[in-house]
Amino acid sequence: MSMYQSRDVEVKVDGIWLEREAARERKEEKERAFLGFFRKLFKHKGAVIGAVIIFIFVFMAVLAPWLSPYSYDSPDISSVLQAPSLNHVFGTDEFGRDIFSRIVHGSRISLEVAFIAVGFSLVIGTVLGAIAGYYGGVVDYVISSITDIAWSFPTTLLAIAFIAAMGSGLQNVIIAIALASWAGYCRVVRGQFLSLKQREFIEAARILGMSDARIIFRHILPNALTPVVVMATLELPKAIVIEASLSFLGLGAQPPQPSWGVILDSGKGLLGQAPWVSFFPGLMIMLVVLGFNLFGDALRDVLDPNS
Amino acid sequence: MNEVILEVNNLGIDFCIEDRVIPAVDGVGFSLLKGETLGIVGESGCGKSVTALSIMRLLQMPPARISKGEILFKGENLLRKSDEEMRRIRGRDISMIFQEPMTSLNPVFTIGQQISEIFMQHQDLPKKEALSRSAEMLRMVRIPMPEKALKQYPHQLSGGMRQRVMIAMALACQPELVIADEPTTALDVTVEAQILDLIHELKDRINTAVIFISHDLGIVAEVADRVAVMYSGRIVEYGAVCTVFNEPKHPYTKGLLDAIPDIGMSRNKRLREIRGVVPYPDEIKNGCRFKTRCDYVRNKCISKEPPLLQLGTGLVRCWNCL
Repeated sequence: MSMYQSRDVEVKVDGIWLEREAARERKEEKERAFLGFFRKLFKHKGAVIGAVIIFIFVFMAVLAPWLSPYSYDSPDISSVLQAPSLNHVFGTDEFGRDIFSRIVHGSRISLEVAFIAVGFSLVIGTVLGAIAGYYGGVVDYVISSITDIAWSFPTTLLAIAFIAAMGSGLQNVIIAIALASWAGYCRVVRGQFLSLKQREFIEAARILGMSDARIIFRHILPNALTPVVVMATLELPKAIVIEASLSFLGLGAQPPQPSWGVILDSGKGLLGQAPWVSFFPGLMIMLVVLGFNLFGDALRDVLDPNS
Repeated sequence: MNEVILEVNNLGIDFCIEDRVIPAVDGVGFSLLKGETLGIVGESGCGKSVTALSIMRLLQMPPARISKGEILFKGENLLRKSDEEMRRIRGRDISMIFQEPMTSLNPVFTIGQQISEIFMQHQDLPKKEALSRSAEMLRMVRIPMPEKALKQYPHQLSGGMRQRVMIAMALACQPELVIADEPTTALDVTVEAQILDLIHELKDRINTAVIFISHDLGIVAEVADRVAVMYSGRIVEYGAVCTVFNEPKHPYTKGLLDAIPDIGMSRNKRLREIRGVVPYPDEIKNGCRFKTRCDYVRNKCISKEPPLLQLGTGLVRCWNCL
C-alpha cells in the first residue's frame, strides 16, 4: 500500500498545476471537436452550397408575408398571364396572381410539410427500430416483417393509397408521408441497436440495475443517432417532392393554397403561352431538393469516419 | 459477522444450441460469508463467467437455461425473483466489475452523469446530491481532482482510471456482494497492483463480500480467502486459499500451479503444461471430466465421476484422494 501512497501525495502537491492543465486541455479538446466538425463542414463545397440554399429557403418561408410584394391569393384581372418583368419577377398566372409571391408562400407549405412529416416518421421509425433491435426475438420478427412490407411499397404509391382512403388535404399528406417513410429509420436504428446492445457499456448499465426504457433511450439511442440525422436530412427533399407531387395530382394542398405542386399544376395547360407559370415552381423544387441533398451528403461525409 | 450472504446450491446451467444441450455449469455450489472473498479460477470456458452472470440473472435465456439448483442471496432465491425485483437488486445489493474498462463506460456521457445516474436510479437522490456523492465515490477510488473528473468523458481517461470509475460505480450503493470478473486482465501490471490494492481496501471499508473471478492464480492467492477451482463446468477443488495453493490435491490444480513460470527457471527448459485440450462440455458423458488429461487416471475414473469429497477442510473431486 505504502508504495502507492507516495504517488498520491505527489498528485496532491501537483494538484493545482495539474488541475489547471487539465481544465485547459479539456477546453481545448472541446473547442477542437466542435470546431473540427464545422471546419470540415465548411471545407466541404457541397455543404456550403447546400447550407446556403437551405438557408435562403428557410429565410423565405419565415419571412414570407414581408417578402412577397403581392397577395398570394387575390386575383388581379388587369395583369393576367404577364411574362416575368420588373413588376412581377416570376410573372403572373391566369388569375393575374404574382407567381413570386405564391412561390414564397408555397415554400412555407413545402418546408412545413416536409419537416413535420419527417419528424413523425423519424419518431415512429426510431422507436420501433429501437424496440425491435433491443428486445429481439418475436418482437423483432413482428416489427421487422411490418417494416419489410412498408419498405416494399414505393413511398409515393403508399402515400397515394393512403390519401385515396382518407381524403386529400395537407394534414393527410403529412400523415401519408410519415406512414410511407418510417421503415428506413426503423431498419437503420434496429441495426444500430443490434450492434450497440452487445457493447460492454450496455451490459454494465444492465448490471447496475438500469431499467430497459432507460437503457434504450438514454444509453443506446444517443449512440445510434448519427446515421439517423444524416438520413433525416436526405429524407427531407424526398418529402418535399412527394408533397409537391401529391399537390400536383390534386391530392394534397387545394387551390388557392400556393403549394408548389398546385402552381406547377395550374401552369401545365399553359406551357405553350405562359411557360413561366410552371417553370419557376419546378425550379424551386429542384433547387431545394439539391440543397438538402448536397447538405445531407456532406453531413454523411463529415460524420461518418469510414467514408 | 458470520452471516451467509450468498449460497449457491447445485447450480446447473445448460446452453441449448440447435439440438444439442451443452452443460456449461453442472452442480456448482459454494457459499460466501459477509465480507469474505471467494476466488474462482479456471481456464477459459470452464464456466466461471457463466456462473457469475447467472447470479446477476443476466444470462441470455435462451440459449442459456438454468436446469437445476438455487442461488440464495440473504436467504432468498434469486432465481424466483421477477425481472423488476432483480433489476432493483442489481447495482444496489449485488454489483459487478468488468474485465473491459476501456469499453464499459458509455462514450457519450460524462463520468459524473454515469455515476450520478446510479444514485438517482436506486436511491432517488436529486441530481445535485447525486453529483456530490459521485465526487465522493471518485475520491474514494483515488481519482485525483474528482470534481474535474466528473465533467470528463471516458475517452479522456486512461484504462486504470476508467477501471477506478467502474469500481466507483459498482460500489456506489455499497452493495453487499461484488462480482469482479477478471477486473485487471486488461490492465498493465503496475495498474493491476494498484487496482487490487484498491479493491482490497474498499472491501475492508464497506465490508462487501467479493467473488473474484480470474485465471491468474497469483492474483487469486493474493486477494481471496477461499478459492474454488473450476474445470469444465464443475468445481474440482474448493477450500481455504492457503490450503489449496500450498497443498493442492486435485491433479488439475497441481497442473495449474506447476504451469506457472518461475523467474529462476532455466530458459532452455520447457514450461510445464497440462497435456491435451479442454474437452467440450458435452464430450464426456461418464467418469471424471479430467480423465483425458490426468496423469493419475485409473479405471474407476473412466467409468464413474467422483463426487466432491471432504478432505481436511476442503473439498476435492478426485478418486485418488479417497
